[in-house]
Amino acid sequence: MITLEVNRIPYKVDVTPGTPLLWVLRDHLKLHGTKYGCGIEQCGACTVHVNGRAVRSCGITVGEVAGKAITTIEGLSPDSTHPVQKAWIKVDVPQCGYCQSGIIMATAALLARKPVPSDRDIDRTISNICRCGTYNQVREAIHLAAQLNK
Amino acid sequence: MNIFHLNRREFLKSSALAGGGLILGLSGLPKLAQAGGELAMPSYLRIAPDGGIHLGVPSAEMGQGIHTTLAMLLAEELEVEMSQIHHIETLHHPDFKHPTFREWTNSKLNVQMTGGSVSIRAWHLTFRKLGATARELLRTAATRQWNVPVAECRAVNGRIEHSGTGRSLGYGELAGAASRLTPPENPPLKSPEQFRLLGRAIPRWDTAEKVNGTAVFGTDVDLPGMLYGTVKHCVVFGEKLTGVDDTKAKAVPGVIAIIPLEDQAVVVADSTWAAMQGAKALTLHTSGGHKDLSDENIFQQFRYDLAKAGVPVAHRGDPATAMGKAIRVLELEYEAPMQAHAAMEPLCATASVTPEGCEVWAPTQSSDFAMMMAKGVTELSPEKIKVHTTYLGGGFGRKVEYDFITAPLVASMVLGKPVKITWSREEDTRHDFYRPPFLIQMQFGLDVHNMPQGLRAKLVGPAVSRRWQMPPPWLEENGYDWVVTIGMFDGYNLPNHTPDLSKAYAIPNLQVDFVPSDIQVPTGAWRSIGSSHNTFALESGLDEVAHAGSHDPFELRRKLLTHNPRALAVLDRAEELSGWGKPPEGRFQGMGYTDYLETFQAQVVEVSVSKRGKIKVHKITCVADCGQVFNSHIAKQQLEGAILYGLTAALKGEINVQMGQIVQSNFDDYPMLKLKDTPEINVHLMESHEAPGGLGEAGTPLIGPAVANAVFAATGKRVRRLPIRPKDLV
Repeated sequence: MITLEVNRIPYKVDVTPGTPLLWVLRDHLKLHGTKYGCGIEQCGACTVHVNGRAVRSCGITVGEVAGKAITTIEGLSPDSTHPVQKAWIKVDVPQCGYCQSGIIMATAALLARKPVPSDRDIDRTISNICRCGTYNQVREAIHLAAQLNK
Repeated sequence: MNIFHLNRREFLKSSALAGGGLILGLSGLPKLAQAGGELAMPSYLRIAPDGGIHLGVPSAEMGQGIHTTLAMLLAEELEVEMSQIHHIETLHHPDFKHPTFREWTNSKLNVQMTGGSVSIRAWHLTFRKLGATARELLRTAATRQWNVPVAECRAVNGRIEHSGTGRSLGYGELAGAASRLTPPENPPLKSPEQFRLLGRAIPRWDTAEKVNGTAVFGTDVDLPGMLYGTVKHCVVFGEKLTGVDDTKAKAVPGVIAIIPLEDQAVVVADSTWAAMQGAKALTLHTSGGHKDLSDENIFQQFRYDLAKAGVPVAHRGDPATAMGKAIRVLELEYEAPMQAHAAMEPLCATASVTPEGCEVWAPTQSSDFAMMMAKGVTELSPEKIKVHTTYLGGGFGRKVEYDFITAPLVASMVLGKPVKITWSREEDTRHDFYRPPFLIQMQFGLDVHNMPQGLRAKLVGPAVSRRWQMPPPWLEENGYDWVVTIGMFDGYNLPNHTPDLSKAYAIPNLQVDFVPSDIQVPTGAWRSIGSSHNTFALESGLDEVAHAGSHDPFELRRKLLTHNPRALAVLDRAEELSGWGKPPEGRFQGMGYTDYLETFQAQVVEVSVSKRGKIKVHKITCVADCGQVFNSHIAKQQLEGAILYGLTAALKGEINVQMGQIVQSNFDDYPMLKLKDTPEINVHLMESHEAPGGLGEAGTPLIGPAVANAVFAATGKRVRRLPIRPKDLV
């Protein structure tokens, strides 16, 4: 049994400690907002926060995050009012939407660390893959979120 | 197309559309033989007693915003705000067989399907008429209740108002009475000047659920008692499974069953992770397979087949004489490699099969193909099968296939429980139906003014339509396959019809032929199908003609399109908005033009190239006349997204085959464009009330040649094969 704290709720899950956090979130805790895209930390669709930092949950095991504060897209805000979500809605960023949870989580972590990121900060940090090509709207929404955050 | 009534007991009970109120469906489209009479059909517009609108639509939502736009078309005529649309779902329905695919395939393909940039083109009037019909029924119901003339009642914002007395009733209050009336045959439609919603940048209906993680994609389906699984295919194309060694796989905790199929094994477990670990530990024993297959021998075969006569695609004038008279002949060869679709959501599907019935949940571009697959696997009669289309995490043509529906069906039948199958990214990359590789040879015959008087083009590559078995192949008997010839003077050609060249480049003498050259790699529809390779060749080729004859590339195209005022307007606007001819210091421009599915479009690209051949794309200007625009925000996103999809294929990876198997496997060896690589993109839509053109794919094929032409301007090196590799530029 491994004890996890996800979105401020404690869970006990019966998995081996080597199981990637991603699959525990999705298959055991039914938190489906965190997506599988590649399994090798390349695409960022599975990005969550661990103790406030953006982490690709396919590449970290539940053993490593036991006892740490995990936040998924479902826990980012109770009602989609996190500044990043508000900015995303205002710019109307998503197309298919599959990668968006991961990009939103990566952005929220970036803004927590750097409230007003430059384009260069964004380029360096937001390395998620979006195949619909929402990148320019993502950039616009990040700048807007920084404004909303002030 | 007529609109008829259904009373509420005729609903598909489990549909989210079920319930009371006013219910409308359409008839007049051919129906599935097994669907029975019209009254057996489920309906797809319901106005509930609370005034909420519940809508079933034919098209799968895969990012193209089709749910939003179809709902807008309805809401415009129905006089409601988008906030009154309470529910939208892709509904499997016999009325929803796609009319355009039927037309394109001489009725060989009569299925519900989303693709080919033809959702809006096919359905825009249907959904406006559906809204108008409901509006008129509600008006009539109100006038009867008040006993006043119809002319005194108007529909405003979800209510019917009486001008004389100021009385009003909400749609929900009128829905019951309206449902007992006979629908009008030809309800009046609004003129474009009267549009409140259409044409505007209306926010997508599904954004809220896509920013909080609640949108349900194929991969998110969750059923009580469900098992999880994955697939492991034979790696070499053509290999068959002869057996498995599953000792190690079964030792993985959580693994429940290994089910061998013809060319793959299904691994089922109590979680997806356990199934994937099981698949890794599983050894497949195989026989056969095309182990000698490689890119080299595929292109060798194409070069050999280049000598063959081929199938006529477009012929005009007297190309032989024109070539004989030419002062100069430019002979050019272009190549396009394979590409995978790489949708962010790997292939997945869920099935629950019992002796009584079967349900499938899938991110499919064709619920009918999923239905056919379920019928084939379960041998149940169609009325016992239900297909639910989830949101698609990208489709791009991959999810029009039905191979990924098999494994969950079989596993559920074998294990007696619902099973969700998720492919690994590696399986998704290595078992795609790839963009076909193509070799394109062109000869431009130039006159004394260096204008092309003749073009002979030969397209050599696989006839992808030949492969389709379950849906009837729409390949013509002589091998003609518009799926791969589109884009080379075959823009809106229909099988057995004379190609419509009236809007194409005015090269008076033309001979375009297609040489089918089948390969052992599965190929399919990749965003923009044949235009992907043909537009690359044609627009790069015209750039070569322009440079050979000292024409400005814009001017050359204008001279060839004097008969097409929409094209000329697009070219003029693109030249102006892009600052053509005046790039900033160190940057170089390239352009291209295309008329993919009646969307007339020009793109201008600004690049710089480093000494090491590294390309930076700084700015892309895209001007499109796609006819009437219904949602300008979504239309621009479609063009921009399609451009970036094409830019990835032009600058990043490619799919290679060696020793009969795909070399690439994941995003580490098949890289994708990222935010840091994304240039400024300016999309400008021309104002137009012409019939809508195709938009979902139009941006993709043009960006490759526009970039390649800019690279030529920067380096003097002509790129005749994509993707552009830095090593080719130094």
